[in-house]
Amino acid sequence: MTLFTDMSDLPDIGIQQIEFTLQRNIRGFTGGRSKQFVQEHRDPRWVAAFTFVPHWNDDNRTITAWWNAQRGGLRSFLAYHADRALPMAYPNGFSALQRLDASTFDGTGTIKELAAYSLTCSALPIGFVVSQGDMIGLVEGDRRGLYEVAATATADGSGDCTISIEPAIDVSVFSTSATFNLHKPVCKMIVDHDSFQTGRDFKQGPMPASFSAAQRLY
Amino acid sequence: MLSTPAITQEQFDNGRAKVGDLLLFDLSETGFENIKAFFSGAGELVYNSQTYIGADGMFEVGPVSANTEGVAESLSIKLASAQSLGLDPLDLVTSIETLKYQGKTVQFTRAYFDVETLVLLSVHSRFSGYIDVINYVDSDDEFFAEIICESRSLDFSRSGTAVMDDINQRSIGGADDGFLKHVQNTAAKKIYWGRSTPQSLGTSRGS
Repeated sequence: MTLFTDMSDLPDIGIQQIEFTLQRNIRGFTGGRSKQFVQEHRDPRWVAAFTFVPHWNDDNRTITAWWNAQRGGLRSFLAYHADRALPMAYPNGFSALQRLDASTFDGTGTIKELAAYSLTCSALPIGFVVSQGDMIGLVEGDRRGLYEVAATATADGSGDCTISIEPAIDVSVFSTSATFNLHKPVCKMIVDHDSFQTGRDFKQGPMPASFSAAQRLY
Repeated sequence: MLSTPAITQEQFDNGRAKVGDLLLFDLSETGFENIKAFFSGAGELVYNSQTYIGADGMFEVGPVSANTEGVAESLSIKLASAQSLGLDPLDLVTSIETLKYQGKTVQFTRAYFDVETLVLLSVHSRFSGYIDVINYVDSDDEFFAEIICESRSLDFSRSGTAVMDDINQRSIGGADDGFLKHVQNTAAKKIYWGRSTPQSLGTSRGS
């Protein structure tokens, strides 16, 4: 059995319902006229609520073991958007795709350029399509970044693709040494320590477990 | 009058801003480097050759107030600790009391960034003062160190002595003021600033 440690994945149990949204710290002011003054304080972060499929006894044990291993948020885990684990254009994975150098494409590659709201990915298959709303992850050492693709883009003849993303990349955190990931891209999250709900109803049958969490930036 | 650089003003005119807060404690003692410069965002920010550690919301600065009477205003800074920032609870709680923090300077600065490129545009000082006391708050659902600061107006209420010499006279009374013209009976005179002037002494500029 898996021993859940720091930065462990979500337990491998189906997810029935997911909310995955970007929380921004915005303060606004509406004056007498309709003009608004908008200020963004602090960096945006992903917040999520996960509900697992109703599970039987063995899965219930795995879920509570995982939850308790989170130690109320002392540890972080790697969360992914369960509804967008793969790019829209490749719902069944990348099995037949090859990079320019004929190696198998597994959803990862290198970064050529980074800016606040755009990144240029390398080592993609020629003509690879990244669609609006796909999730893309950055990995550099222990750091994880998770971004949503803002506009559809296609890899050029050398396997490069410049993608607009939200939220912004912190360029003091990620460099061009980072790699990208399009298959189950993750960010680090900390559980909301009092959000876990689980139970067993011996009359009704299996019940779903749920919890919420927020991104720990990098 | 606050002057705003044109590049920042342009964003204000468009009704938008990306804001960050900078905190700088001038704690020159060794071993205190970790608790020195913070930035409210994530990552790091280098400004004026000083690297600000991204505290990512781990600090909160109370409202900044001001007055025109020269009375010191206090400012409360709540600082949590996070191991991932190299700032673990033991660091803060066990080491801070071994250091002479009282009276060290604090600067609270607001930074504005370009909303499209997130490049630092300008910074504006909001508070400048001294650390007074540090309280530790450990309640049911949160814990933090609360740093109470006093503004630089505190200097106005300090009493000191001024030596009356020729240059001093001229700086008060103008170039034509002569040597010890205003001094009738003492060569050194106490000068009061702000509100603490005793009524009986009238104004502070010689009576």
